[in-house]
Amino acid sequence: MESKNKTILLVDDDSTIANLYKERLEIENYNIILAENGSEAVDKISEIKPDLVLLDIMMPKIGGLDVLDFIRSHEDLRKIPVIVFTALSSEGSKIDGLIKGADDYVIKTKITPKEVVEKIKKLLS
Amino acid sequence: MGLIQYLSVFVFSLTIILGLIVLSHSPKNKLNIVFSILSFCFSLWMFCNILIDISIHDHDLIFWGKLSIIGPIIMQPLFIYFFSNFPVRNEKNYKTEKVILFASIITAAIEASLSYTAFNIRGVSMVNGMAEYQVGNLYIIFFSHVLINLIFTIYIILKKIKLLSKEERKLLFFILIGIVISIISGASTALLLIFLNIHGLSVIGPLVSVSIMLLTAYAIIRDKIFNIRLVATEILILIILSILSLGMLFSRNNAEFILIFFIFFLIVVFGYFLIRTTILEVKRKKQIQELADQLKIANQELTKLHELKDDFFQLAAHEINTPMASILGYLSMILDEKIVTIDEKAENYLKQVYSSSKRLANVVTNFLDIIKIEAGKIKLDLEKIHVCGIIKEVVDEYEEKAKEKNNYLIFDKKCSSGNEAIEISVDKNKLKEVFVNIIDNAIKFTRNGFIKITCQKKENKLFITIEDSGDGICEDDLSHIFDKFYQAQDADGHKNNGTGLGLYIAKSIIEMHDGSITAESTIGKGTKFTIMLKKDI
Repeated sequence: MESKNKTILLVDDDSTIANLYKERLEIENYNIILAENGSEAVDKISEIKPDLVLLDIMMPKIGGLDVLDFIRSHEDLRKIPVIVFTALSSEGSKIDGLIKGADDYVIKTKITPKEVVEKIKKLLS
Repeated sequence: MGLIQYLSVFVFSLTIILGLIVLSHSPKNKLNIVFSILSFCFSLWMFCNILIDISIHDHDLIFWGKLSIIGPIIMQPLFIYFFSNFPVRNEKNYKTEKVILFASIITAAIEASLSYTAFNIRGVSMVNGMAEYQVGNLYIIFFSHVLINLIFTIYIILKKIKLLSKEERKLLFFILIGIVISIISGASTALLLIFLNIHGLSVIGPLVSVSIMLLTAYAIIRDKIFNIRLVATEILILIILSILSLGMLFSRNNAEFILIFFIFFLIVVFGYFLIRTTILEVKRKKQIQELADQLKIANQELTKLHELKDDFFQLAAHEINTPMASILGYLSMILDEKIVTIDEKAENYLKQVYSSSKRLANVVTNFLDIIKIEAGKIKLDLEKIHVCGIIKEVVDEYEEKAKEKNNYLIFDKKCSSGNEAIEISVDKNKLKEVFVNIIDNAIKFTRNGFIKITCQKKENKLFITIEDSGDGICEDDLSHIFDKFYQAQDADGHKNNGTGLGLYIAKSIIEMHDGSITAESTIGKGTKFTIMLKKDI
């Protein structure tokens, strides 16, 4: 009963990527909620309190790192594992992400969906 | 000669020099020329006064007395012209000003033509050793002219006050003070001279009038170039010439006078050229300063452009990488994980798509890295890992491709036997890029052969070699293969298609790890790359 019905919030402003990972993760029987931007993400996190958040960094207006700040600064949300993912291979972002409290960091073009699934499984166990 | 005479000579020299100095600043500038002429007219007036003082005979006295008004007469229209054009011309009012100028010129011409008549000076008599003139009506006309001119000048100035900047108003203010002082002093002494016949003080007027000259000169010069060295040079020459003029005054005989006058003349000429050279030098310095300022601005623009470029590339990277990730992601799900079932033919086609997409992703990564390398902005994301692990990953990925060209891709691991396992702090992704670039190249240039990779530890260093039995690289190319954009020719003499960046990036990355990369090759036999990485960076 554990990993079967866990909820994952997928935050990405690009619908192709969002759909790709939604497809893949639903195969693993995760419950996937999508958010298109930072403010939607913040709302949904407070509302649903997902078991894990997959967070894109480069988004217009409220960016991924701000969402991360939000999560880490709220007592009831602090413990939610967050994987930050981005299309940029900028090392600076990685360090930013990890400093702000992300549990892992993933570069979209250098990782396969399978590897993402493995990371998620590790964090949710 | 009395004190007043000495002072007169001094003032006389001063005004000549002043005229020359202003002229030397910009010989072609109309304003400077007019000012110099004004100065020389003034000198003429002074000169006449001096000669009046030393003349004894009546006809000399009358001659110099009549001549003395010529200077001031010429000055009147010149003043109008000067203030019409200084510091800037008031285009709106210029027609009116031209009329005023014309009127003044006509009046001056009439006055000048009358100056040799008795209308100017009727007669003279010596009283107590001092000359007493009986003046004619010309003086009344002249003074009216001066007064009217003064009113017009004030009118011209007031009309243009609005057009002037703060700096220019300050300059004008200086000059106006000077005018007022000199008019008051000049007028009062002249009035004293004419109506009260007290003319021993006749030189005080001019003396004080020099203030207008000095202030205006200062204003003009300051407007152009104000420079300590220049002013000091001018003052020095001024002093030398003043001393020389005193010398002329005190000369005991004609020979001495001529000698000193000759030196005076030489100093004037020398001084003129010296000042001109100094001015040119100051102008040069100003030019250089301006160029430096321009350079500074250009640099700032360049920095801004650099930043824009960086922003642009970040955006471009994101926009390219996002759909790329989507393509690679779906293909991975289909081909690696086989989440959906597809027929063999579809699978083969898609495999081609997959490998092309990975190649595309590599090219994009290469480009982005180049940009970062050039900008010096690349940072290594170091983690302690098994280098051989990365090599194995790349070997696995390229196995298919090697087989296509009938090549063997061999990885001879000598580095992880037992406690020889080597973990170094490296940037995993960057290092992978290096191996991808080299192995990809090796496969490209080899057919029906082998590509062998070895990994060995020696002391505190890790040596990785990638050797192929391919076409090899000729000696001329060998020294250039790590250059940016350099592409060696293949066996048929064709230039390879590719970006020419792969090895340049590989070298940059290895060197950033404080390692080294070298290549040996024999044409027709093959190439061997040797990478050295230090255990401790």
